[in-house]
Amino acid sequence: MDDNERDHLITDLIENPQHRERILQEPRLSDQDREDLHTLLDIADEVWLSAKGAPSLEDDPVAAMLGLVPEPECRLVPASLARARKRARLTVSDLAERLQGRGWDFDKGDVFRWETRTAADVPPAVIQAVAAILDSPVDHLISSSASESLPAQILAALKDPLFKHLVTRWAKARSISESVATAMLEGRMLATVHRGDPDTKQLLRSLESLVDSIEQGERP
Amino acid sequence: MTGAAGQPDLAALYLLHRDAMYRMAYSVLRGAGRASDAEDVVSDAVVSVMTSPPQKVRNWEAFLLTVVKHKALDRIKSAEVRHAGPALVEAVHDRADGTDLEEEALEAVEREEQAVLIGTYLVGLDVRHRKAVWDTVALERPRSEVAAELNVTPSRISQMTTRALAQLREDVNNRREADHGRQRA
Repeated sequence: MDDNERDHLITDLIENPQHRERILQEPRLSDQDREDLHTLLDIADEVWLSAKGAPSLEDDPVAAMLGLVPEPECRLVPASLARARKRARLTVSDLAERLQGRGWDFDKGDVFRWETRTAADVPPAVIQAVAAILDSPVDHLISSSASESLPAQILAALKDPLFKHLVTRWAKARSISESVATAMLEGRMLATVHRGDPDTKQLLRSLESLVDSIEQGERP
Repeated sequence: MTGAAGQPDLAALYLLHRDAMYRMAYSVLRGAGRASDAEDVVSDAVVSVMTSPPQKVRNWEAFLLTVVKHKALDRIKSAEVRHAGPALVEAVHDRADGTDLEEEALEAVEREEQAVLIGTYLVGLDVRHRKAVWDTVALERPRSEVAAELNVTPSRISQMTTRALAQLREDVNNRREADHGRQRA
């Protein structure tokens, strides 16, 4: 295999990953050629993979479903957090440590900021965790304001009685508050709209399918 | 939500490992020409873990990557079965302490680390070779477009890409030898 042939083969292998096995079995290739091509392809795959990753949180429906996208519908109120924490007889450090124990990467500086400056960036999943740690209802910790400039099909879905019903089922299946469930499902619809242009019926059908799958998995 | 009985919250785990989970999905699906299914595979994996939370997990990253890998293979095997249900995850859970799963998971984590490391070696390439390999391999752009931007022929882009890959291979091998040398010392 000369250099030109090698360049050509590498290009072919990179551009046609589903045909690699066939190309590498060509009889004109020696074992040494195959070894050379294989090791170059491994590197090419790592280069390809290094460019891949998760979408931004706002565009990731899984992140939205898990409550990782901050929502105006479910916003932590600094004064309410401070009050609930003191009532639970925990320090700022205690709360941060308990969050770390549940896998969250927050320190006491974060909790201090949420209580004294802004907590607008705290997503619903963290609010749910804080509420569980402080043994406080989520609704005592949050304020709710209408989301700004939502797409028309989401506004229509939010007004549909089916959405309310799905929120109730999602909250029950996930053992979370309805406020957090609303924020999660709204965020999920928003991320779906960012990726395509589904209509209201498609959005609600997709949510219903998600809720069904979780409920089915929980049945004995 | 998870978080009960000392378990970490699934949302916190996902936040930490979602890039690796997507990369695993992409890498498995690519060979079957189904890379565009990556998001659905990751979603299936998370829903499965939600519905069948595992009890004893020593390495969450490895566990989540393994679930994603199996979901991706499942999707390749049966494109019509869009929602395979929790059966596969249950099988993974059943093997949660098994050697096969552990080895598989460690390989997955190692490959993930390698993919991240390759980015540092790319910086060491000269600008034109870096563009040739990054644009054609990572971004999957047509050679003709990249060639026009670099004012060379598409064949020259192929040459530059092969050279860049060979240089990266040498860098990776040198690093491995250095690591082995340190371990022996």
